[in-house]
Order: sequence, then C-alpha cells, then structure tokens
Amino acid sequence: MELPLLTMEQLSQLVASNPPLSQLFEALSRYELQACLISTGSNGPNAGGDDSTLLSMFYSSFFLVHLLTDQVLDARSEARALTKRIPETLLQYDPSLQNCLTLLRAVWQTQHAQVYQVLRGLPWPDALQPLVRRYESFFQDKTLIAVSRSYEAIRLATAAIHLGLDEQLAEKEDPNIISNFTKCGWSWDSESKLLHPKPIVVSPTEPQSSNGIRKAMAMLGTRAC
Amino acid sequence: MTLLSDIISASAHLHSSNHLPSDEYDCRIRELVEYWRRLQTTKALESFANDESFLDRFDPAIDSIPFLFVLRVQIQKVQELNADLFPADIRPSGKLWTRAAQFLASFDGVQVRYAGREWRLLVELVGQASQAASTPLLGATLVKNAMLRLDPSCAVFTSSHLLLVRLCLQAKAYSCALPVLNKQICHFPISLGRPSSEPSVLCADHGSSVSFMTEASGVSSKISYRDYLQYFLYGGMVYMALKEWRKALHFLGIVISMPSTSSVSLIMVEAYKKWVLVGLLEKGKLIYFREQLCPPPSITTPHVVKVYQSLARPYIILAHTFERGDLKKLNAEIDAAMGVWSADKNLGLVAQVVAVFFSQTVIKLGKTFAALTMADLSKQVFPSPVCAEVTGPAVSSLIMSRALNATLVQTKDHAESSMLRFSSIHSLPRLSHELDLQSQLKQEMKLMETLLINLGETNDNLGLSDEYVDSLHKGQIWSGSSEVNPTGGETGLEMDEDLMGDMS
Amino acid sequence: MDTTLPDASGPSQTDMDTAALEASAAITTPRERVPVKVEDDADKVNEAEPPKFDLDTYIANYTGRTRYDRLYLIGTCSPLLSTDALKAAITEAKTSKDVSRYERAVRALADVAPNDPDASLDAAWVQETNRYVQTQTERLEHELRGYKNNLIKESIRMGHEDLGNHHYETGDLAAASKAYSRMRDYCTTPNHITSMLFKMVNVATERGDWMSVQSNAHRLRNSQSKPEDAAKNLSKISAVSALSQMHQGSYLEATNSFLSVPPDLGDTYNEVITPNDVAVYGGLCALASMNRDELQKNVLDSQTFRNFLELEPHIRRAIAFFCNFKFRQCFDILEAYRPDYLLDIHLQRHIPQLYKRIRTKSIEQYMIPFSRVTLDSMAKIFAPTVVGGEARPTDISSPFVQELVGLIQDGVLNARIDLEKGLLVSNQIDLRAEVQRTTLESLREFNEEAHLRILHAAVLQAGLEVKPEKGEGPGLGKAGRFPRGPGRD
Repeated sequence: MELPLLTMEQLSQLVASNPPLSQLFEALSRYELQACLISTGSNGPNAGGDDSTLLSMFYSSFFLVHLLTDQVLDARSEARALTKRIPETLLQYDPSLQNCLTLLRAVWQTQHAQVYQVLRGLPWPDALQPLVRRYESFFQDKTLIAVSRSYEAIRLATAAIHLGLDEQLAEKEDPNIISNFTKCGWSWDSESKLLHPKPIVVSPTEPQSSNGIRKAMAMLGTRAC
Repeated sequence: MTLLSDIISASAHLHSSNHLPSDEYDCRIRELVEYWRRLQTTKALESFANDESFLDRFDPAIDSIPFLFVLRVQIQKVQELNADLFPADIRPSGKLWTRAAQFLASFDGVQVRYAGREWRLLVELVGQASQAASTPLLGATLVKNAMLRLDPSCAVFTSSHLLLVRLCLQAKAYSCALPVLNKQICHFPISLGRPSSEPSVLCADHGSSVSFMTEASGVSSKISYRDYLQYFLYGGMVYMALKEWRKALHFLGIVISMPSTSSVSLIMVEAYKKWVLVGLLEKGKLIYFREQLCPPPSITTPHVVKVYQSLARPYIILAHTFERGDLKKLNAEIDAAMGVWSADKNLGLVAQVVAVFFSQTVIKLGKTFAALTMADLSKQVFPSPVCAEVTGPAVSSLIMSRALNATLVQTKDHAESSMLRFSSIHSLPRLSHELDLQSQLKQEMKLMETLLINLGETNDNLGLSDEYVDSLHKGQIWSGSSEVNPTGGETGLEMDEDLMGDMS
Repeated sequence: MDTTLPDASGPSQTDMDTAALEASAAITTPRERVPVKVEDDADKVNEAEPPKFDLDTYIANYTGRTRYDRLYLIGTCSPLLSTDALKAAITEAKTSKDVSRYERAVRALADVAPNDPDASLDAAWVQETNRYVQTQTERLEHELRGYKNNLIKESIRMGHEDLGNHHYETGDLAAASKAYSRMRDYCTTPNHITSMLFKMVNVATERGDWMSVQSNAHRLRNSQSKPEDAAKNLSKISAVSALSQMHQGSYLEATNSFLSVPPDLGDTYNEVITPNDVAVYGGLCALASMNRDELQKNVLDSQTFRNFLELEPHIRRAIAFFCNFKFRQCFDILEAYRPDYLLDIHLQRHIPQLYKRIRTKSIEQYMIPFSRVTLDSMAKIFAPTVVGGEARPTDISSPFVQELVGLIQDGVLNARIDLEKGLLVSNQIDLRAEVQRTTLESLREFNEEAHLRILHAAVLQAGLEVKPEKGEGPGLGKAGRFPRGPGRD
C-alpha cells in the first residue's frame, strides 16, 4: 500500500489540492482504514493528543465528500452510514462533526435555508473550508437544476431561499438577484412578479458536464450578501 | 540449511512454468501444494515460525503458495505462544496482520485455487481478528477484495459471502458489501460429477467459477441452508440501509421462496416480515401472486405462504391498511402493534412506511387529478384541514427530488396556494429521462446475459433441460411445520435504527 | 399451527379480523368504494312527493296473494297512502284464510290510524278462521293418508296438491313448499309437472327464495309440455326468471331475460308480474347495464319489447333520452318516478343500486366522445342541485367533484380532473414512454425470476433445501422460542 500515512498535513494537502471527486473519494476510503486503527488506539506508539483533531478532520472531510457524490439519493444513506462509523465520543463532542450531523439532517429534510445556514453560518476549521465551499456550490447547482424543473412559476423570494440568496433583497426585487436568474434563461414577469424558470437538462451519463450551469452558478456566487 | 534451499527451489520451479500448457502447470502447482502440506505436518517448519524476515523472501503475488503456508505456520505459532486466538500480532496493524493484508490484496488467484482451504482459513482469521479488535471495517475490506480476487464473478456461494455481509453490517459499511452483493449468486460449491467436459484442470480458464470453486477445494466451509438464507437476509438488510428497495426486495424474495422439505426456517419468516414492509416502500402497494401475498414467480407454495401469514399477521394487516389509504387507521395499526415491530427490530422500516405513505398518496393523486392547488391537495389527502403548511414544503421537496413527476406554479400572492400540475407530457426532462432509461436497460441486458450463461452452466451440471428448471417447483413437497433456528443472538447486526426513520 | 402472533393489544383483535375479512372480500368485489352519493336522502321514500299512481287502479292489476303483499308494503312505506292501503290490505286478508296476515295489517294500521274502526282485531273472525284452518288441515292430512294406503298415484298427487294449496292460502309457505315438492313422485303427465313447478315458483317468489325460483324456472323450461302449452308457459317462465335475476343483482342477465319475454304474456301471470312491470323492470335494468348502442338496438328497436314499452311510455322516453345524450331529461323522468318505484315490492330494494349505475354509466358515456369537458357543463347535467346550491360546483369539496374522484379511482372513468382549468381531461397515454417503461420492467422481472429459478436448481443440486435440523425433530411444539413482543406471553 503506497498510501502515505494519514496525518493532518497529508489530509489538508489532499483536500486543498482539489482533486477530482472520484480520486478524493477513493483516497479517503482507503484512509478510513487508518482512521479506524487510530480510533481504536491500535496504531502503535505515535498515538497522541492530536488524534482527535486528525480524526475530526478526516471524518468531516469524508462526510462532505460523501454528500458531494450525491448524484443519486443513496449518497445520503451512505453519508449517514458513515456518521454511524465515527467513534461515538468523538462524534458527540467534536464541533465540526456536530456541524456535519446538523447538515445531514437539513439535507435529509431538504430544508434549503438550513443547509446554507449550516454551511455559511457555523464555524468550520480552515482546513475544511475548501470542501465546505465546494459542497455549497455543488448544493446550489443541484438546487438550481431542481428548481428549474420543479417550478413553472416561482416567486423571487422563494427562489432566493432555495438558492441561498438574500431573501430581503429578493422581496425588494433587487435587479442583481433577478439578473442572476435571467442569465440562466429564466424570464422575469414584472407584472405578476414571478420568475418563469427554464428547465435545465443534465445528461445522466456525464453528470458533471453542465458547464453552462457552472458559469451561471459562478455568477450566482457573487450573490449580494 | 537444506530445507531452506529446498523450499526456495521448489517455488522457483513454479516460476519457470508460467508459460507451460495448463495441464503441466496444474501438475506443478499440485506438487507444490502437496509439498507444503507435507511440510506442515512435520515439525520441519518450526524453525521459520518465529523468523519474521523469512516471509520477505516471498512475493505473495508470485509465490502465493509458499507465502500462504509460511504465514499460516507463523500465525499458529503466535496463537500457541500466547494461548490466545487473536494475539496482538494478528490483530489489525499487528505484524502478522499486515502480512495477511498484504497477501490477501495481492495473491495469485490461480495458484490459490489449489490451496482453497488454507486461503479460506486465513480469510476467516482476518475477519474474526478484526471483529475481536472492533474494527470490522478492516476485515470487511480485506475479505471483500480477497473474494473478488479469487473469483471475480462471485457466482458461487461460499462461507466467505456470509462472513463478508456480517462484517459489513457490523461495521455499518454497507456499500463495502456491494461489489460482492451486486454479483448474482447462481451456484453452490459442489463435487463436480459431470463427465469430462472441456478443460478440467483447476488452473485453466474457466467460463464459470463453479468449475474451480468446488466442494473439494475447501474455499468454503461446509454450507448449510442457514448460511445462504442468512446471507440473502443480511444482504437484503444492506440494501435496505442504502434504500435500494428493489434489490432488497429481490434478496428477501429469495429467502422466502427457497425450496424446503418439511419445515420453514425462522430466517424465512423474518425475511417475510421485512419483505412485506419493503414491498410497500418499493411499490407502494402489496405484491400479490395468485391472490397470495408472495413474490411473483411463486415458487413458494401456498402452504408455506400460509405459515408466513399466520406468523406475520400484524405485518399483513399493516400492509392492507396502507393500501386502503387511510392515514389515521395506518397510524392506529402501527401503534397497536408497536411491541411487535420493536421486538422484530423493524421499527425503522415501519417508520419509513409512514413517510412513504404520504408520497405514495400524493403520487396516486396524479392519477386522478391533472392539476389542483396545494390547498385542495391538503383537503384531499388529510381529512382534517391542518397540514397546509406542512404539505407545501413536503410536496415541493418530493418534486425537487424527482420522486413526483409534477410541477409547481406559484402565484404573486403569498396567501394564495400554489398550483400543482401533474405533468403528462412535459417535454423537457424527457430526453434525460430517456437516456436514463436506456442506461438502465443496458444494465439489465448485461445482467441477463450473465444469468443465461449461468443457467447454461446449471443445466450442464444437472444434465437437464430448461423445462426441468421451469417445472422445478412443481415437484417440491412442502410442509408447513416450523422449525426454530433464529438468526438471533448475533450482536451488531441489528441495524434497525439505521434506517433513518427519525430523519425522513 | 398455533403460533399465530397474539396481538399486542386485545381490543384491536376484532378490528384486525374485520380488516382481514374485508381484505379477502375485496378480492372478489374490488370496487367496494362507494362514491359520495349526490342524492343521498332521495333514496328514502319522500314524504313530500306523492306517488303518481292511483291505488285502486294499481292493485286491480294484480290477483292472488301478491295483492296483500303490495298493499301492505305501500301501507307501511308511504305515509300518504298508508291508511287507504292498509285498510285495503285488511279487507284483502279477511277474504282469505290467512290469519297472521290479517293480524299484521291490523297492527300496522293501529300504528298510523289508531282510531280507525278497522284498527282493532275482529277476534271472532280470527277464532273462527283459526278453527277452520285447523280442521281443514287435519281433514286434508287424513285424506292424504287414506290415498297413500290405497296406493293410487293420482289421488296421492292431488292429496298433496290440496294440502299444499291449503297451506299456501293460509300462509304457511314452508309447509306449502314441502307439500308441493312431494307431488313430484306422483306426477304422471308433463302437465302435472309444469303445474307443480309453477306452484313451487309462486311459493318461492313470495318467500323471496330466488335461487329456488331460478332452479324451478330452469326445470320448467326443460319440461316436455305440449307445444301449445309450452308457448303459453314460456312467457311466464321468462318473466319470472328475469325477476329472479334482477333480485340477485344480475342486471344485464335480467335485462336480456326481460327483453325475451314474449308479448303474449298479457295478464296471464298477474299473480306475480304484469306487462307494465316487465316494461319498468326491464327498462330500468337495461338503462343500468347497457351502453347507448345496445339500448337503441336491443331495447328501443326490439319488436317484442316495444309492446311492453308502450304501456309505460315514460320509460321509453327515458331510454330514448339516454340514447340521445340527453341525460338530464332522462334523470328528470327517473327522478319523477322514483317515489312510485320505491313503493314497488320488487323494485324497492334495487332502486338505489339501479339509479346509481344508470348515473355512473351516463357520466361514463358522456365522457366518451370528448377528450376534455368543462366541469361546469358536466355539473349542470349531473348535479343541478349542487349547481343551484351555495357550494361552488367545481370545487374539490363539491360532492360532484368527489363523485368524479371516486369514479376515476374505481377505474370507471379513464380521465383526470384539472381543477386549474376546471376540466375533466381524458387520459392520453404516452406510448413511447409507456413502452420503454414496460420493457425495462419486464426485463427486470425476467432477470429476477431467472435468478430465483437458477438458485432453486442450485439449491436442489447441492442438496441444501431447508429441512429440519438433525436432532431437532419436526419443528412443531417449539413455538415458545419465537421472538415475542412484550406482553404477549
């Protein structure tokens, strides 16, 4: 096994290098075996006080990566299964992992506002930030696609909540917010004060090929908040 | 030391025979295995038992046989010395564990066919040691990879199959079992009684693994019907945890329809209970065949079904209530039999049944209505007009998750309820939908091919025609007496609370 | 197998039993869901609305014991006619030898008109009649014994017949039926047989034993009478079998039987059914069970049935309206006559069901030519009272919309309701998607089944069937080790 030893530096580096998702998932899956050993204390002499920080970082990252692979519904089940594999005491007292649990609950119940709140409002360690940001934009993408298919007409404020944009500004029909949507081909009816989404089609064989959407989301990223 | 040089040369002998015709290669491996088995019975290997570096002389990928035997001797030695089945060296990250892991990840699949028994003992040891160290995940990963390495088709059931699902359930590493679970089991290790057909040597390229995963090979310990029943039940539970209801249903269907001579196993009854619930989750309705609540290809005779139905009555009543579509009654039935669900460890599934009830009701509404407002929907679904605030978000997330094929039209006014349109011909998602279907079709076609190959194999082995397979169930003699052999007592396999009833 | 899981809580046991019972019943009658009834209370006899017929003229159409039965039914169901009808029933009973009928009618009259002179029992008559009946029974039984000793077949047959007639007239129907059936062994000519069978049919009709009516009618059909008799009997036979089919709820079969009644029935069978009844019963059953084309071809254009319909022109009109898509007019006629029909001894029980079917069928027929219809236009035809009322007729909670919901869910209507546009839209199948979906599904099912069968074969080959463990013996009696829930031991 040529896998380098699981250490904080190694992990931060891996996460920060922003590799393709499948590679990241694969690497973390393999690291889980090491994490498993560390947590049972059978990792030999180098067990120390850093272990819980390392494990927290590892499991939080792996958890977010699980959510990121959410092409299908199942990923949530697997993410949940992962939370069941995390050592009980660590899970209970570690703030990042607690955040993960809150996030899981919000994602599970499709409470969009709550998801953004957890991702943006709760404290995440710096090392995790790249993954948190990556998931946030992933979640936004996914939601934008879902909203575009689910609504034939939607109030600006509702759309803003789904996409984590400023609801107050949306209520005031902020032109920036409106233009975020019109750039995706949606139309804005100022008379009825409704957005008419244009369904976004993603081919299932190449789920990541939604380049146009990414660009649109990048614009959404410069949201007013 | 003559023994050492003897060993080295015996293995080297094999290195040079890679290119030989298969029957000669076969001979050489047999000789080599014989040689090692003989050595093992003598005390000759004692001297290497404590020599850690000795294993460095062998590359497990090339010298799989010597590596395996030496490793075994060393393990036995450590066990003897410590008077403990799982001393530290054998437990995860122990010295010998690391060796075993190295071996299981890289052994030569063909060579090991000749030392199936020794391979299996090692796999079992690794599994048990990981359990003993409460790191079943480590064992599960190794066992899974080793199994796929030995028999990539995994079509022959072995005792390792059961070990693997058990480890995965304990580790709650459900997806870890999938590479094996997703392979269709079509055979059991048998003594090959068939008259010399095609290549018969173990090392040859076999169309089907049934040719080398034989009873005599020792790759599996002696199998009883309970082993495979448990495997399919546990496999079903893995799929349940991942919410792959259809596959779960298939696995449970296997358990409840297996041939039986004069008794029904409790494992089957347990599977039947889960099968009823999962059926509701997957199909939103009961699965009948010839007016019996049982899986469609009713190989299960009515008699056995009767036994199930008498032992699983609360489940059947629950299912009927579900189908009649009255939420209040459903909740009442669930409350009434709370003790049953929790005793059977099915609370999680039952909780999900309630959640699915709502979505099923809304989906069914689409067969009656082309469009209606959310307020209308609440009125139609709930007799008491309470839930307008609840239904709104619930329906919208059903649509956004694509569980419900419909669209929402909001109005300017907050107070006015949104319109729900059950799309009939909504052209846009269609393309992606078709692509999706097509890839699923392709997948099923591939599966079908595999199954047909295996069917051919079965027929060859039995020397029987397709008609025989079709008429198999007719010749069965069934009897409904029950027999008691609960799966129970195994710790860590109760994954009920894992079913997300609390969150969904 | 006594290992049935005891239920966790006692009280729900019965619920569960009924649930299971209903569930099994649901298999045989899958459409048990009754849609919301629009004209719910109209099915009861409406006090305000008087029947259209004249009692005396009406009852004059009938002969025999059915006169009393009909009068009594009207007397007990119609507040408007009760006194007249019951007094007539009392008169009717008093001309007979049936004491219990007399007593029943007097009791009923006493309920509605306690001061009427007829409302108190004529004790002398009762006593005298009872005595007469008693001696007559003894006499006839004595005679019959004598005939039996003499072994003369014909006398024995007549003895049984006399006894049967006597029991029939005095209201002991079970005894009458028994006596008539004993005639069988002593019948020597086909005429004897038909006469006996007709007597049995009459008794069974009065008893409401429709199975027996049916089987005796069947025997009558197969009896070998002389051609001229056979023709005469045929009209009666088909009329009475139609009646029994209607009573058993087989409305389509009943329709066909009514349609086949030869017009020469005339008033030959007035002790059971009149030509007017044939027209009404047949017409209603036809409306409830046939589509528009069939009604036109088999009913309106029928040469024979036309004769009956002429007697009840409003039935003819109702059917004609139905055939011409004028459902509202059809309903108006039927509604107008509902009070009459609810006072008919044979129709009363079937009117709700017949009317419901006619209504359902008309909604179904109405929808056929359209791919979409506005709910408003439908409501005007099918639910005018709802339209006139306060409720919005096309609101989801309107009874009419709920009725449509029921019809769709029962699979009667192949359409969906669009409450946004107020339409009923007939379903169009997206063939392409449907084909893809079913292909995938059948492929999956095939694979699953194939896998199951392969596994089966493999299990048998390896000798791994589920079997009792060695040493464990057969499993019975070990039920105690089943996992049990709390409180269930």
